[in-house]
Amino acid sequence: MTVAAPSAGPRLHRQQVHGATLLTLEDHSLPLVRTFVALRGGALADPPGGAGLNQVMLDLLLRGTELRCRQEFNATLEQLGSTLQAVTGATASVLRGVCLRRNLDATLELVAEALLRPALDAAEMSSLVDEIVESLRAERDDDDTLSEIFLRRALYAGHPLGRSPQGEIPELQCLEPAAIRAAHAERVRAPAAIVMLAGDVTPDEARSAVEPLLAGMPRDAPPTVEIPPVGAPTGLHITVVDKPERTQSPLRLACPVVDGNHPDAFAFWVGTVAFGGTFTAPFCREVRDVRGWSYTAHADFDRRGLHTQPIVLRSAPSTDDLVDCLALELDLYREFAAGRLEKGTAEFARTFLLNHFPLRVATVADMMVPVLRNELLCLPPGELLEVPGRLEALDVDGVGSRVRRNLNADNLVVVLVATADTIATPLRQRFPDAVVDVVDYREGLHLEKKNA
Amino acid sequence: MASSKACQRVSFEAVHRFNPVLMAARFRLANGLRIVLMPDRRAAVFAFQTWFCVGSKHEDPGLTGIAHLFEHLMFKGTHAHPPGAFDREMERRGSQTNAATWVDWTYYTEALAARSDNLETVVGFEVDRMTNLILDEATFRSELEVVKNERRMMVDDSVTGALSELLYATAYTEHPYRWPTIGSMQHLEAATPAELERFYRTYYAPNNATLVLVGALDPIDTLTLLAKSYGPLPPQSIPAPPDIVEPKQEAAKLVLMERPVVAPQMMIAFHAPAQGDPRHAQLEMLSEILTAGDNARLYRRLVTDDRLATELVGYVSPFAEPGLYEIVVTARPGAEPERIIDAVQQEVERVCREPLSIAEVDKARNGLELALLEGLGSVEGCAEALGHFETTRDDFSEAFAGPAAWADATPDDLMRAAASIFRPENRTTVAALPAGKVA
Repeated sequence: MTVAAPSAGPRLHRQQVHGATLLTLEDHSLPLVRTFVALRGGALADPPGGAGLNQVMLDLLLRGTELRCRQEFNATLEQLGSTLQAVTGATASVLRGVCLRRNLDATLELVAEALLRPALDAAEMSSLVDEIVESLRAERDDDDTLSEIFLRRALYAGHPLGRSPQGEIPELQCLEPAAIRAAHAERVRAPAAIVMLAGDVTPDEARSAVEPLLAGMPRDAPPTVEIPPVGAPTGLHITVVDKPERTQSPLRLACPVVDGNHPDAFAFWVGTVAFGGTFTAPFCREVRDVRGWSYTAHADFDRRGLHTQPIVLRSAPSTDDLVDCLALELDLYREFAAGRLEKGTAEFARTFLLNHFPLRVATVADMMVPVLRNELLCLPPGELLEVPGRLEALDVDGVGSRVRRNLNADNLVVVLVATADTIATPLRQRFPDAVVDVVDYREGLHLEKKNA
Repeated sequence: MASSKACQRVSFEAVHRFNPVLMAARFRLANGLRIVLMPDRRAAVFAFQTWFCVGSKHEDPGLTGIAHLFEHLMFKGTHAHPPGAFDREMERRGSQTNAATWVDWTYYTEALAARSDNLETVVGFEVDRMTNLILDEATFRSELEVVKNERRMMVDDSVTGALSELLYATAYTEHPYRWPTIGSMQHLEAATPAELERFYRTYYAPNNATLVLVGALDPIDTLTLLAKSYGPLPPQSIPAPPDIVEPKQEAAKLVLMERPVVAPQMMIAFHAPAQGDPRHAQLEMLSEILTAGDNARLYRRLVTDDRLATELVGYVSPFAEPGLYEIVVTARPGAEPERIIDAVQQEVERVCREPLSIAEVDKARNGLELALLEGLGSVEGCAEALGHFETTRDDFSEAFAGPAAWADATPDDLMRAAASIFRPENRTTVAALPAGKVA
């Protein structure tokens, strides 16, 4: 099946090859090809107590094969100028790369070798786990990343989504080589594989190039990954991530909403754009333009999530403005959750999204991630190009009610990074009904174990 | 004033074809405004960028940050359009709108669907704000708070931001690259609308700007519209850029700062050639060999073999005047900075004396070509490359010059370039360490 953008732009083609899905995005203007080899499952397939298993398995594919040691494998890849990265998300693990067109076949031979004949060497695994642990520790030095780590924990407490897709330190340190081999056997199977080649390649060339890879994958389906339901927060819960010497606080307000297949997901997305998806939307205008309280201020909702996605309001006020800024954002959020969008904002968001759409499908690099995510959602390949039609058909007057029925104005989590000594008491005084917890920014790093 | 026909005259200056699909040309209006145009029908979109040859190096050392602060104010009101009108209209049209300021330049960018009314609208706004901006106290104060928050985010509470600021302040003693583009908090707070007005009237003029247009545009219609719209703007007297040569560094420098960090961060830098120097392209190749990928020399030494670090990035500054080559290291807790510096120095010196392998040189050429092509994938990426080189080198075609320079560079050239750069006395190191670790 081939789907083309109305006037110009990349062409999308989908075919089945040996039980796997092969997607091609054609654009012959530059001699390069981007590649995704996605395996359904991702971090949600990590067993209880085994957070990080699929990330370690995927990373280890690039650390030596039955034919070449790690050094030789990477020297060959690098001489081609090609790159390969192992990225594990909640619902898929992806080997992501880019190469010069003239080196496509040689690069895909290496990809096939890595996926089908990995060494999965125990010594390399030990060294890899150690590096991942150190990188998880280093993440805490970036305040923006820090706020996202604790937001995930607060939003999905007790749920597998609360774990880092890269793993949790004590669980990583208990992983055994046998578990890695089992994960490889379980996940590297044709029915779980979605391969995408994008750039200077035709569908026939793509099929030929990935033939050895897909022909070598087992054809039996992997075990299904069950996603437990995501619970809603009750009341207002504020987590202060305590870090010394902060002059500014990355601030997150969030609440789980719906998944990408929910009938309200599309309208909710338009409502979120209306509320805080552009510079002039009410959220950004009130926080940034009117008051100058934050350099960034925006609201996001991912309408292509396989599992329940949150709405997240993000800003970064100075410590002096933090309490007032949070109060303002709570007021704005409650108005939004009640379905009271400012007059004309939903219509404006639709106009923005319609006119912006050509930029979303202008290049293969723009299209790859949404096309992959649609495939994970089992949506038809042309769904991305149907967005303008869906926007035209949307009842914008009904956007507010779709927002209202999926959000509770009083239930949400707030996460902020700040120096607790200066902020915890003012927060408790200003928001007496809220539960305010303080956690150390190094919580969960097990530094004492390392130092011992 | 010149006659309307005279001021709308468009002079063709240069053309360069990169590949069968991508070709760009430069034109100039009588008032000095440069126009770089790249018709590109890969998608039904276009990018419109306005590059001004003014960055933080043009600032008064006592008023740093003004170029960047001014960039923010360009999104406010003019005599023709009230505050917010520009953003609102651009959003109504679906535009991707942004701006950036760095040491050598400032630019403003819009990307839109390829419709003639979109081009006419964006040109109308851009002509207007090039000369008619209103700089009142209230607008200035509100935006000043936003910029101060940007500084807190990017520098004050950011380990890498703070280290980068310290690195340039340490490595440079005279040249304006020594102060940060975002400016000091003290200078930002002391700025006044009058000073910003003076800055605007000095640098925002057609003869200090380049328009870069890339996308599904008709060249004749586009040039006609630009000439008619921008032609009447008068040129200004632009001050000569600062002519300050950084004195040769005579001894290695090391500065440590204390920060609440889990993993120590280091930046190890060497003074490096400017973008127009042939050694700049050679240094890009050396950086690939040293830092790109699992098998790169420094990565293997620091991360895999000696286990002193967990991450490593090499970066060649793309500056008009001599910049820095930066090696950014995320160290393992407990790794001594001096050990890391020694390991880095040993590896970069090995490049100076031991012949590079064919595989390493291939790797550098292929990797850099790939990165260049990736950057040219979008209309905005193409426009950025063209605008950068037209502004810093007066020649947009240098955006495509990399492959020839990388192909021409021999292993001996690379060794000579390495020997001229990787001298210990040319090195500056800054590091952020946890409390109690700074002697």
